[in-house]
Amino acid sequence: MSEPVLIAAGVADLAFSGIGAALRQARTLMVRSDLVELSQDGREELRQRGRLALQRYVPAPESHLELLARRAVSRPGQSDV
Amino acid sequence: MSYTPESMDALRPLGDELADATVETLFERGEVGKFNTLMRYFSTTGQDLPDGLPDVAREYLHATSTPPAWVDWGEMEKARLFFIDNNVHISTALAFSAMPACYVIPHVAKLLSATHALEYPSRRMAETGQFTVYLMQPDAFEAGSRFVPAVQKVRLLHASIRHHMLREGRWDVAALGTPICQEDMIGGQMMFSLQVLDALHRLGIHMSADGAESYFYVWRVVGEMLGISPEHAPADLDDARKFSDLYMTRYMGPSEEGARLTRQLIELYEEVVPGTFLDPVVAALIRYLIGDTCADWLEVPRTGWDTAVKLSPALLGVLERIEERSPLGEWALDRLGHLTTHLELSSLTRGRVMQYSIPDQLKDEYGVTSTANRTGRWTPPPLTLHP
Repeated sequence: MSEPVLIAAGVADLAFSGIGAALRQARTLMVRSDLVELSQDGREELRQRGRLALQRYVPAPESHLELLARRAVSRPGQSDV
Repeated sequence: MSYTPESMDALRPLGDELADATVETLFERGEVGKFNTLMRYFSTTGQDLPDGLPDVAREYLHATSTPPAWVDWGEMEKARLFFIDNNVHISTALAFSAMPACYVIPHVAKLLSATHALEYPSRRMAETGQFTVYLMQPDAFEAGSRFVPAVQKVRLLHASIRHHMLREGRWDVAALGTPICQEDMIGGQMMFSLQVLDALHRLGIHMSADGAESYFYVWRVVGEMLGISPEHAPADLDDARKFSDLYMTRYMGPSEEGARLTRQLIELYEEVVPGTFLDPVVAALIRYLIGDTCADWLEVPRTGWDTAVKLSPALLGVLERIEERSPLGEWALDRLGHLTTHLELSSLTRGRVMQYSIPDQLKDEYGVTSTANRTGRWTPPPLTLHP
């Protein structure tokens, strides 16, 4: 899965698992000197969150029409009336 | 119930006797114009029929003014709640899956293409959309409702298409039976019921077995009101799967008309989507819902969004979790859904009331009750065909 997607999913996941807490943390950030490391950690955390969030959802089942279409193709003459 | 190619063939010569006879008489007596003009003013249940309406039309409207006697209103109410809960998802499934599904049946695509009014998907989409919105009103079957008159008009519209196709020799009766025959009507009913549920499942929507069955139930009721013969229509989702699988595989395939209708449909949705950035999502979503084989038959373009759209179940899952966790989120998403559906519908109908009138001529060119837990999560019945 590409990084932007993982990060986007991570942000979405973060959004409902405590945006308030995250904002409080953000305020304390303003006075810290290790901002670069923190930001890298944050990015990594978002990536991990994103990966977990996406894994929570079972991959979608195959489209039923696709299954039928393959069946129709494998029976020559069936698609003709 | 079991369905076989022979039992399906037996449905091909059958149309809709009552509506066909009504339309024949209107055409014979030259009363179609008068009928259409007067019917524009007849749009709600309980309204007095206009003066001067031909007798045959009066009798038809009287005979078809009520839903079937077997309707269970409790089940209908469940369906309405299911529709409210899944409003946007159902509209999405109808627009991006059920409409293209009609186009993968070549003779249906040909018929849609040959009829004057239905040539343009916007018109049909607007009519179907408005029809569904009328259907899901709390008072759909009571006095003042617009739904029953809409059904009565659609049924005559179908009969008039039969009349024109047969009379003008535009239909291969020997190979295809009657236009809009019982098999095709039930096939259509499956696209708007079971196949919409399949699409919701593919979108990752959580729905209860109870909800899914009630949604199917409504389409059984509507099907009968539209002239589908109840003894042939599937009575539950398992039978629906059998009918739908056999029907689709008997006919599905590419056609020039199918590809053209799909192209028009995509252009239409792109107009409705604000801006141009998201335009390719339309094709991507159709491809995702109907699968690559059907999408290739219909010449749905491949886009850079094809992969991204595969994430829609995950994104919808996230939205669902927001909805579960926060009443404010639930309210906001509900409003958003309401707005989206109405925006879609109003941009399609452009504020018009769709009239479903009888066309004077065609386009010139031919171009259940399950014992399983009914509140548990619903999953579609599996493929019923064996290799």
